[in-house]
Amino acid sequence: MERLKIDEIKKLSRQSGLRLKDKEAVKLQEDLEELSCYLSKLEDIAVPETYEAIEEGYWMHKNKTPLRKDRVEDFDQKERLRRNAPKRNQNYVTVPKVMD
Amino acid sequence: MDNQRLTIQQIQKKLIDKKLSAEELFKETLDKIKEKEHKIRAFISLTEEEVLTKGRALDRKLQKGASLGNLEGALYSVKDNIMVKNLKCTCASEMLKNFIAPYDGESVAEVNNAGGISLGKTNMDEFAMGSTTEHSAFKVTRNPRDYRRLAGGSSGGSAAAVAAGFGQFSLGTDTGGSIRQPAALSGVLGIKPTYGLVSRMGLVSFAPSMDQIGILANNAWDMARVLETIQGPASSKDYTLVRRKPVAYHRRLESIVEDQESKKEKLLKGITIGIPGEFFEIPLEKDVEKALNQGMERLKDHGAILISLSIPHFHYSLSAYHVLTMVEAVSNLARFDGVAYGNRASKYESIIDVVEKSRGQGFGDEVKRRLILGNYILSKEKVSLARAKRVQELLKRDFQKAFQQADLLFTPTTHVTAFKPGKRSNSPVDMQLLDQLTVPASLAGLPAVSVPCGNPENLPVGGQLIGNYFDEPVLLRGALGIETLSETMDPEQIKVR
Amino acid sequence: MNFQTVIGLEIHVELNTKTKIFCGCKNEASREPNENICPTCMGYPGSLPRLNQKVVDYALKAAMGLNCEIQRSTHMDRKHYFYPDLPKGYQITQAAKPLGINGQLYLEKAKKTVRIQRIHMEEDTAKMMHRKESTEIDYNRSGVPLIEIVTAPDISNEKELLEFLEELKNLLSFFEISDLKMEEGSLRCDLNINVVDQDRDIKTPVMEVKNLNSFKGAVKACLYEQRRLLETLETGCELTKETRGWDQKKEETKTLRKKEDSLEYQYFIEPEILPLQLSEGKVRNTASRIPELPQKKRSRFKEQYDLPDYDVRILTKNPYVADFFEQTVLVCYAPKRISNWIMTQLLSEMPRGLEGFKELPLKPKDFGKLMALMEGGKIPKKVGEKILKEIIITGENPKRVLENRNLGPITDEQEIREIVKELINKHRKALQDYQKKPGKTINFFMGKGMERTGGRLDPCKLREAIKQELLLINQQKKEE
Repeated sequence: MERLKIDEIKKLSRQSGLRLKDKEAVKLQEDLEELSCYLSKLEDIAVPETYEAIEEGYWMHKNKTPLRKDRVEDFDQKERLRRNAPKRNQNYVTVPKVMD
Repeated sequence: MDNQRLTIQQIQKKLIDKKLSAEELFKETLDKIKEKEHKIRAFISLTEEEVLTKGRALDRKLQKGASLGNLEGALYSVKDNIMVKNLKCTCASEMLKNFIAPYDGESVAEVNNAGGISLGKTNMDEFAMGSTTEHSAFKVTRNPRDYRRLAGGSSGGSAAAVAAGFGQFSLGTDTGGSIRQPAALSGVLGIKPTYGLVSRMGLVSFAPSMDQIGILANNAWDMARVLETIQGPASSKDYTLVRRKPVAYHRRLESIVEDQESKKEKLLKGITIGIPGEFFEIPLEKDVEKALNQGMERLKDHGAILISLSIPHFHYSLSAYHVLTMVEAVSNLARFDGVAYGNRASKYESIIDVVEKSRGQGFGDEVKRRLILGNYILSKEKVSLARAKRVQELLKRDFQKAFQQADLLFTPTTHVTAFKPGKRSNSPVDMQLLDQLTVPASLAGLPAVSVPCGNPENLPVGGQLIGNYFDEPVLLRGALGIETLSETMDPEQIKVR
Repeated sequence: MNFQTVIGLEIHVELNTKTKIFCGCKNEASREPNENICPTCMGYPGSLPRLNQKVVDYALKAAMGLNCEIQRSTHMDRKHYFYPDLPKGYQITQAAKPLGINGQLYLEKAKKTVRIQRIHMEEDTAKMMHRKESTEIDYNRSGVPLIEIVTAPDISNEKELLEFLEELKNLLSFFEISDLKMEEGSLRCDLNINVVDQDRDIKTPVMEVKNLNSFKGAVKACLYEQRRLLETLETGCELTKETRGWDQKKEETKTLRKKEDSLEYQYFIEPEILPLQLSEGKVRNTASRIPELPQKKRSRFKEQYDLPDYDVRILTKNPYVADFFEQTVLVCYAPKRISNWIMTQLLSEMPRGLEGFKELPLKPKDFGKLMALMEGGKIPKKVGEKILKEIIITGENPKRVLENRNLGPITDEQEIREIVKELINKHRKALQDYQKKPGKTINFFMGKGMERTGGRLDPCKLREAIKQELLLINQQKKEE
């Protein structure tokens, strides 16, 4: 596996919602090399050809989803949910202005 | 008299027979905590004040002669990534250091309904990513058997609490061995149930396809009792559960023991135990090897037949596990953006700032590392993801073949005994080997339990039993087999009454 | 320049189930923000999604209505991106295996088929209110169930666009799965548009246009963007693919974000929602309960009731007006009159327009009785209209209203004579014209008579009475 460039690592970090300093990005270059050891161990595993085959083995057991009846269930601690907001205005959650 | 050695059933008997009051019993535990917790550091939050009040209430109930709930008389702790209403749920992370849980996780609610009383929330590796609690943002937990050493992880706090006698059991979580490994290193029992048996509602998942809530306890009886209580209810909000009729695990274990006794048969007569060669190819510490051999002897003493078998895809499991869990972690931790709850950076100008700074400050290095590696796989190595999933499929098949020949599998839980801080944690690869033996059962979703083996004078060693899907009754029977006839247990323990 | 406009649509329909898609919170607009919330729709750690059965049912119906192939075995996926209105940091949607694929909608006016590439279920995001210095988030909308409909780029101009939107709304209204109001956000449409210069064989990149608030707005935005893209083709200006927002006030589109800036969605299968497997029986059952859809209904109405296209289009706009019409016809077979009355008199009394037919107090049987009264000549149109004004609110039997309000026809000749005399006395001036223009005078008094009695006078008898009286007066004058 080729060593990833620093700005590629920085792009990956933005993808992860993080902002890395150069020092941290360098450390990750090394970590990625270690990861490649793990990945190379998987190389001789044949991948299923069809999407259906991938889907087949995806969940742990072969059960299908139960469906919920369309009945109202009111949560009883709404004020706690609102209070957990780091910044709020009356009952809204506040963030810096988003350009839309 | 050290009531720590008693099963919950025995405790309840003592309480009913008025040989002991709940308040006295609880005070014993609280004293122990006062004496040793500052050295062990098992807890992130403690709720001692309520415990005595509840103890007195229980005594009043006993006075009236009311019947006791399944777990009444027991004190327990909860790993800090499971929601306990109105308590902080930090996941040992700066990101959630002030986050108050608005609801109870389903297993917690069930334990509470059965009468269990909570001591508090236990320490762990941040978001359960780690194997020693050294990645906790707040503190490092020490091993009650040797304070210089670690208790393992990520449920290190839970394992240490149970080993130190802080309560009869603890609810922990196990994704790749996070209950079993610290249980082994701390000298207690730890079970990861079948995936889909226990509700994950209320568990802060990082790898939803493998995470499970499980139990750490001092003996197999208590483990059975708690498992009976926390198995997913029919009305569960976890729709990934496998819907089944509830099983009375404790009663089942009792009947098996009674049965064998009445037939004058050994406990494990008729049980075949497979020894998968690949698990033993890893270089084991001398003490571990010795203890495991003793474990196997014990199993044979109980009448089990041991056979060799193979799990051919064993060597791919660690790689597959890491690929899958890193990717799932990326997804499950995406919700921590500083917007509606959790840590928000104090200085920010734009919404990107809110996200990046809150996460930057909130997450520790190990978490950040895994997120970026996980994103790397999603962006550039999607084929590895498909391969890892395929390994999962292949391992499941390997195990199914094995279970055609044996009822249970027996392997070491870890290849080492408890170690000192910093010794291993500087090399991520070395750390990850700690998971090598526990990961296969996680990938396959099979139930597995770690039981203390070997000489109690030495550092603890755990032997791992792996069972087939929903075969917890057999697993518990095997666990009972290993722990009895062991020097840690009173011979009295074999009998229930 | 020979150019071709290529338009594809991405439409979101907000379903009107009682609860949200993955949790039991109420799915309804609330005046208070953050009222219909729970850990699941706020993306709290430890929460798990539970798929609402009704959402699957509704999505299945919509997919069938649009002639889609149903993928009976399907699942959901996670689409990741960071945005303050997305609490989990990912949206649960169906990327890889949408519930319905390869459908179509035929446009009768444009005479073309628009292909429907896919229909799938997904959850809505929270609502952001942009204030002066900050943005405020309301999670009432987070987790509201949506179906997304994506068309192939088969639409070529704003007329087809409008017809498609109207036809789609018309069709979906028959399933009663959504309020379908663009102004309220229960029907949303994004355009994907580009323009091809056929002479030089060059094309502009595809522009995504969002924030369309009405069908009119969509048409205007389409025309605006088409013009803008054509200009760039003419001037040779280079453009990049981007997302643009329609500004309703300024009537123009502006850049929202360029596509290159975006990070990847990192799609993968949602592990917490187990596979959805619809049985053949379920699919057949749903198919058998699909109501008669608009296009079929229109052709049947044309044939069966011999009505013109214009009428038929309105009468089949939604299931309520269509049923109202047909049930009225059963009571009084006068389809054209009924159609006219529905389109003019009835609608003019309904502030909510055609939607109002859903909860009209006036029942078809009573409306039919009213029609019958007019068909039978028992009451004139004006009286009918008067009665309608009342019964549309009260839902009363028109015959009773007729009696109580004294709206019945006045046929008693004596009574009519008296009225005519009264009118003549009042309007003596009009008599002057009688000699020269007798017809005009008669008509004058006809009008006054009808006005005076609200159209209740029997016209023939009135005319007779007026003639008689005028003759009498004339004779009297002559004698004087």
